[in-house]
Amino acid sequence: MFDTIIHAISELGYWAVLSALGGLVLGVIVGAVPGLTASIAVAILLPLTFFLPATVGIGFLLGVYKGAVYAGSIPAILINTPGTPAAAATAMDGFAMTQQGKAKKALHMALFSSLFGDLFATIVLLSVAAPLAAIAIQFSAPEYAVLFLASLVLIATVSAGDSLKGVLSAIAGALVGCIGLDSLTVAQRFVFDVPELLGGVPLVPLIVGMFALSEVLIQITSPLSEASAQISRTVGPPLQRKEALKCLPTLFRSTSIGTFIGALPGLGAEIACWVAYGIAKQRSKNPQEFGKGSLEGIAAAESGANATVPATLIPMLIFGIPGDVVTAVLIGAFIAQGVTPGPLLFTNHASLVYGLFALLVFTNIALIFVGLLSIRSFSWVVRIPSSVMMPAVVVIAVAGAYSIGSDPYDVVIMLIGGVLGYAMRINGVPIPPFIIAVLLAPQFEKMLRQSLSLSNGDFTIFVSRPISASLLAGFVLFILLLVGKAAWSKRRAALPL
Amino acid sequence: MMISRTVLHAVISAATVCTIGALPATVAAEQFPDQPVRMVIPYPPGGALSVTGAVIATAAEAHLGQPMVSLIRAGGGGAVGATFVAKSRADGYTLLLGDPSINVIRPVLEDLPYTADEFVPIARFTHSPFVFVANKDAPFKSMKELVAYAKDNPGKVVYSSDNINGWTYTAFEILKREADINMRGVEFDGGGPAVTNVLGGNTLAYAGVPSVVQDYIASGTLTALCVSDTERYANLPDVPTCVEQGVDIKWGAWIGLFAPAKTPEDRVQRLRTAFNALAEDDGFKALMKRINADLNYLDQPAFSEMLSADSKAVKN
Amino acid sequence: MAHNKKAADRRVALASILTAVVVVIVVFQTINVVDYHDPMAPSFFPLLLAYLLFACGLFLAIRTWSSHAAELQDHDDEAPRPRFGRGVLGALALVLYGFGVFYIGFWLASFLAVLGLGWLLLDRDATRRFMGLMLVMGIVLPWVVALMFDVFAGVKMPLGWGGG
Repeated sequence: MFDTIIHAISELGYWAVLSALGGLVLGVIVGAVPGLTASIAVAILLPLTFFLPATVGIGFLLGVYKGAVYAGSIPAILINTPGTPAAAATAMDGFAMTQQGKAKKALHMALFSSLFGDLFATIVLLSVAAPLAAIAIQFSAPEYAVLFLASLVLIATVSAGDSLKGVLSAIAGALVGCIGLDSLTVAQRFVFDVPELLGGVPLVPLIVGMFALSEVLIQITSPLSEASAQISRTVGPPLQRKEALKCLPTLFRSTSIGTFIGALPGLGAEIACWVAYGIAKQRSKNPQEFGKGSLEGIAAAESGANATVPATLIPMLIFGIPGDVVTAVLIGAFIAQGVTPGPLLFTNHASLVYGLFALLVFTNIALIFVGLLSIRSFSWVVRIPSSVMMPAVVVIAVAGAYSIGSDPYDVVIMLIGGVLGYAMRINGVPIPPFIIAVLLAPQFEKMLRQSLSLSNGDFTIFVSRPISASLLAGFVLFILLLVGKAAWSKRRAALPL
Repeated sequence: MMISRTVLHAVISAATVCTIGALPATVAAEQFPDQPVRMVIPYPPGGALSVTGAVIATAAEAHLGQPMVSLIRAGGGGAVGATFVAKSRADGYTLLLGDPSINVIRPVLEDLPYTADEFVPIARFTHSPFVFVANKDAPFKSMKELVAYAKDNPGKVVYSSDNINGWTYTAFEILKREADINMRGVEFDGGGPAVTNVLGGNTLAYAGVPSVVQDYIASGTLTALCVSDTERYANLPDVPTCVEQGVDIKWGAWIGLFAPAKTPEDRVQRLRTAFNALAEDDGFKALMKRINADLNYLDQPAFSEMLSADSKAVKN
Repeated sequence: MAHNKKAADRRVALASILTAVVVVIVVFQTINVVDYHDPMAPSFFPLLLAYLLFACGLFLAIRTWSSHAAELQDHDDEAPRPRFGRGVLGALALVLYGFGVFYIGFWLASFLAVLGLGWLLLDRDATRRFMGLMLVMGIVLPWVVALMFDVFAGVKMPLGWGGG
């Protein structure tokens, strides 16, 4: 087997390496612009790869994917607008740090965490992909249902501040998620004869609207006295080594979570970043820091999100099953080359696969330099006064929303998101649970109903299947721990010291 | 005799109007298309439709004289994209890449914002039969055995289905009706999860197009039961047709191009000519072979016939 | 940012309860259940959510009007109130911009938006000299953005005349 690997790497040639690098740079640019996401970029670039050799074309797409998922953190940190949905959790602490004048630390942490997560997951991909995939394929609706439920509950606790309002936010988001054509029964829910709503509310314009546009409105309406105190103009000192090392346990934990979630077909970075963030907050020694500028928070969010990138390749390569939109497009890229991902892939096209693995490792290393370069290129953004920055953000946001499908519908969603986000923020209702619920609640419902469909209405399916039973047990345990911790800390507060 | 002046006026006006009215049409026919043509793909990227669509779009430029741009409008299982094209300006610049689910079955059975009549077919590009497959550990290894097992155990066979009124869903409905058996399907909202579940042993059977399932059959992860066509499939010579196994199912999936119904006839013709030429193009044929798409070109008259026959069959 | 917590809570509670009621009504009016394979109807989940929303809204309302309320009151009266009037203008500007892109074209609409939003925001910094920069940015930025999206996403910004 080793000769095949060496042979594959030597076969790669300059073009494949260059195109992977080029893809990485392009991906960073795409990710750094709010409204442009990895999915859009990869979908548009797909036809270009048809006429290129497989390693060049697919290597290019992989580079774009990686670069975009990382770079979404840059605008999230600098202007509180996630460049891709996967960076939404990073915005929480990242922007807070920018406001405290510590943008550079945040950016460095994001890069470091991304690299860590990526590398770890790549190692997993290269070593235990097959056994992991064999487990992953056993996951069906009941297991997903428990996972989604756990994630939803976890997220409701993630919001800094009032948990009741967090729950309200999540429920509202879940209701918004119900809008559209119910896939299991083709019933139309909350569609009101607007054809575009049949597809539901698209996540990207909603996120951009709720983060960026609401920020604009908040700054417009903030009282004069608060004005100049708001945003600090410096990037601050770079990340110190011991600050980074302190986050290592979080990094390991979040990366494992991200790898696991990525390896499950159908789940991607947008979910992983929040789950990793939520669990990190629970396990942290300083949970109150989360949301106010915690490096741990950024570490968790970014490593979790970036770990999914190599991990989603696992079900894709082993079974030909897409993990998210990008992997679905990648499968298309493979098919266009006459290669079908799936059980015969390693037998028939080993050199291609190993060549791509080599490119994955290469892009990981290259990301160090590309990342540092991009941080340097984008840092000056912080020095721009927000009154100048905000209109520019709005213009980019509108262009971005429009570019999704050349449809006014997306722009409208973004505008509504902006007003809604503003209303939520001035009333202290946190936004993250809303967004996650829009994403997860419909999935949870779907899995729940598919489970019942599988079992013919029998609710015991959740405990009769071994995997879902253990997941469920873990979830119940987790809830008990949560409740216990809350009750205990209340008690401690009440006791005289 | 004196022709009344009014009549004369009327005739002259009518003649003028007709001449003037005819002018733009003839001018347009020569110039059409003079800007890029949009092909709307109603499913999320990465699926069979979008890959085939991308190949068509790339190769079509040479024959159309203008680039062809893929526009992805996914959602509602195809309903969003289809509605978009149905309601768009019928100038020949917006086309829909459709399939049986969107253009034949669902408009008949569901209350959608568009109807099948709002489209005029241009050409059909691919046609694939369905291969019924089973999980390798399932208690049946052929269609005959499946039918027997299902008859002995009504309601116990659970199969993977994709969307209500989707490709796989319909295939199994036909099977259940023809063989008069009782089986339960679980809708997994798409081919991907459906395949995943049958691979993982959560369901026992599935029906998919050869390009999706043939690798699994070759590696033994799935057992092929039968092919729903009039003759055996070229790449799977060992798989019997469903008719051979005693169940008369001859139905397949296709991908075709449509334009809004009100598109001017000459533009439709122009598109048809272009795509007819495209189907003969060797480069295009090679690309289609590479993506394992069963190129089975059916141009307009035959396509329309097939569509109306299919839609009658569904109504029953 | 400071806000009057008690009033905010009340608004949220009210909004939740109202929304919940509206959702329930809509669900019963519009979702017609067709019998297919699954035991859980499409109306079940939205209804469940609506009931939960109602319950949480009620809970919040009770909490606001209870004894805690008095404590909250004290802290927030001193904080300056947000300037909602400008907020309405801002929201209006955004909406007009969003639709304006399709009627007067991306470039013109963006130019106006940059000027308008800049004026609304600049008041805070109290530096009028930035308006000149705004003018320049309003002209240059749309071109740059449109070019960037054209090159990287193959998407052309709308030219206007109600097309899109």
